[in-house]
Amino acid sequence: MFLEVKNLYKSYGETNILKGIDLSLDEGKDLAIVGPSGSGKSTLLYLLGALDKPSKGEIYIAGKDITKMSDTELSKFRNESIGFVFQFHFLLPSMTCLDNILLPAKIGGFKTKKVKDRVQGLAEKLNVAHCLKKYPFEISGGEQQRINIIRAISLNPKLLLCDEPTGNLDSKNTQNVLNLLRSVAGDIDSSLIVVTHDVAVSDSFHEKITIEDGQIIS
Amino acid sequence: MSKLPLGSLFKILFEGKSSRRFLIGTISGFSFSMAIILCTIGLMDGFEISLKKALSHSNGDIKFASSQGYFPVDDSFKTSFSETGIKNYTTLVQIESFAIVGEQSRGVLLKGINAAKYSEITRLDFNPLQEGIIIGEVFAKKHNLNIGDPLTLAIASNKSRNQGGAILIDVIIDGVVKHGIYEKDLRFIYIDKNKLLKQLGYKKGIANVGYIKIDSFKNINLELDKYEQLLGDNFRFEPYWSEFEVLLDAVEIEKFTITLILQLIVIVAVLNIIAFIVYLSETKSQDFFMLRALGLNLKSFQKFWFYILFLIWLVSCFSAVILKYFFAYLITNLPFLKIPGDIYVMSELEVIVDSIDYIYVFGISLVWITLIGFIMIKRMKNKSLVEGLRQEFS
Repeated sequence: MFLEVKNLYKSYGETNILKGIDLSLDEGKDLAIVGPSGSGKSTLLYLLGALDKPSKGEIYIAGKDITKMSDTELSKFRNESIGFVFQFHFLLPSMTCLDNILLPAKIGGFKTKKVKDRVQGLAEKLNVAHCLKKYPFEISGGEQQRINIIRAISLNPKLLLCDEPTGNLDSKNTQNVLNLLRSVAGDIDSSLIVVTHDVAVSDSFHEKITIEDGQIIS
Repeated sequence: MSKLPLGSLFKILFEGKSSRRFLIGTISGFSFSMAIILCTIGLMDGFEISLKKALSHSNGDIKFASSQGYFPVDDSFKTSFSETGIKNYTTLVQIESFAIVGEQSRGVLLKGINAAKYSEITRLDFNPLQEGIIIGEVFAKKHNLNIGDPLTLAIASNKSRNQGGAILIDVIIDGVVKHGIYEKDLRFIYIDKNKLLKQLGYKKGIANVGYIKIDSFKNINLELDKYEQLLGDNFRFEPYWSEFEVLLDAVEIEKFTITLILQLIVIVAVLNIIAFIVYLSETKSQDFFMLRALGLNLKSFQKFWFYILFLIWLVSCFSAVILKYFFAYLITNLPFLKIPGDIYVMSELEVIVDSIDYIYVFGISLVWITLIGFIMIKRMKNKSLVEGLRQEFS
C-alpha cells in the first residue's frame, strides 16, 4: 500500500475537524475526496501533504510515518515527494515562469539543468513553452494553471495533491484539467489525490471518498 | 537544509519599489542614529584626547612646584632629582604680567624658559627663542600680530625702590605657538629664562615651576607616587591633566550618560526596522508560505531572516561610518557649527572615535537587531503553515 491513513484526528482548539479517518491508496492510483464546504476535506489534504500535523493518528506514505517527522524532515519530504496544485495557482510575481517552476529544485538543492530539460519537454507538451521566459502576470489564467502543474511535478513527486483545481472552471475546462492531471501523474507514475466539492468530477476517479463533518461517510 | 540561493529570496523580498524604498529608509534611519551617537561620543573623546594632548604640550608629563615658591636649581636639587630617577626635566620661572599692544593690554602668564629644553620636554614645536618672545596663536590673531612685531610687557617690580611699580620691557615677537587650548593660546607668552630673571632682578639658577618628561605614559601614576615619596617634602607633583581633572571626569560621566540617552534614538530606528519587517512579512507572506509549502524548511527560513537583519545592520554600520565622517567634517569646517573655543576651552574640537567606541555602538545595535530577529522567529513559529496558506489563499 502506497498511502495508508490510520485513525486520523485533527482539532483546532475545541473544534474537531477530522474524527478518525482511515483510508488507503495504491501506488499510481487516483483518489477524489468529495464533501461540502467545511467538511474537513482540505484539512485532510494538508495533512497528507505534510503541511500540518495531525492531533492523533498515523499517515504512512511509501512506508514512512510522516507524523513522526521533524520540520526539516517534513520540508524535505514535501519538496521531494509531494506535488501541490492549488486552486489559486499561485506563482511568485517577481520570477519568470521558468524560475517559478525551478523553485522546488532550487529549494531541494537539485541540479537545475536536468530539471530544466524535463520542464522544457513538459512545457511543450502542455503548450506553454512560450510562457517560460514570461512573468506570471504576462500570461493567461489557463497558462498559469499549467505552469503551476509543471511546477508541482517538476521533481517527479510520488504523490500529487490538488486542492479544488477545477473550482473556477466551466465543465469543458474542468475535464481538460482533470485529463491533464491524470496524464501527467500517469507519466511519472504518481498517485493523484484531488479534493473537490463537485460530485461529477469525482466520478471519473479510480477511488472516491466522501467526507462529512470530519468523517468518511462513503 | 535548503539550497535556495539567497539571491532568489532577496529577489522575492525586494520586488517592488515600495519594499526597496522602505529598506532604504530603514537603513538610513538606523545609520543616522548610529552616526549621531558616534559623533557625540567622538566629540567627547575628541575633547578629552585633544585637551590631554594640549595639556601635555604646555605641562610636560608631570609638573612640579616647590612648596616654598621659588627654589634654587643648584647641585643639591640636581642630585636629589637624579637620585629619584628624574632624568629629563626643565625648570622655568612663570609670573603674571600684562602684554601691551598699542593701546590695548591683556593679562598674560609670562614663562621664562630654556627654549630648547622646554621644547624637548613639552613636545611643543616653536621657533628658536632669541632676544624676543613667543606668543600664542589666539593672542596673535586677536591683536593681529606677526613675527617681528613689537610688544611691551609690564611685569611687577621686585625692587623696593620701585615701590611696587611695573617694569616695562619692549620686546620683538620671535614666534607664534599653538598649544591647542584656547586660554593658553591667548595668555601664554614665552621669554628666555635668564632674560626674565635679569629683568626681575633675581640671580641666575632659580625657578618656581618645573616640567618632567617620563619614558612611558602608562607609568605616570607610579612615577608620581615615587616622586611624592622621595621628594614630597619639598615639591608638589601633579600629572599634566591635573588642572582640568574635574572637567575631564565630568566629560567621562557625561559621555556615558549621553550614550545611554542616545539609545532612545536607536530604539526609534529599531522600531523602524520592526515596521519594515512587519511590512515585508505582511506583503510577502503569500510568497513565504508558498516557499514553505514547496519545501523550504523553517530553519532555512529563520536563517534567511537573520541574514536580512544582519545585512541591514552591516550596511547601516557602514553608512554610519560614512555619515560620521561627513558630520565630523561639517562640525569642524562649517563656521556656524564650530564650537566656540573660549567656552569649550579648546581652540577647536575634533571628532575622534576610537575602535572601542565603534565596537560599543555597533555591538549594542547588533544586540537590538538580534532581539528583533528572535521576536520575529517566535512570531513565525506561532503561525502554522496551514494557517498561513489558508489565510493567504482563501
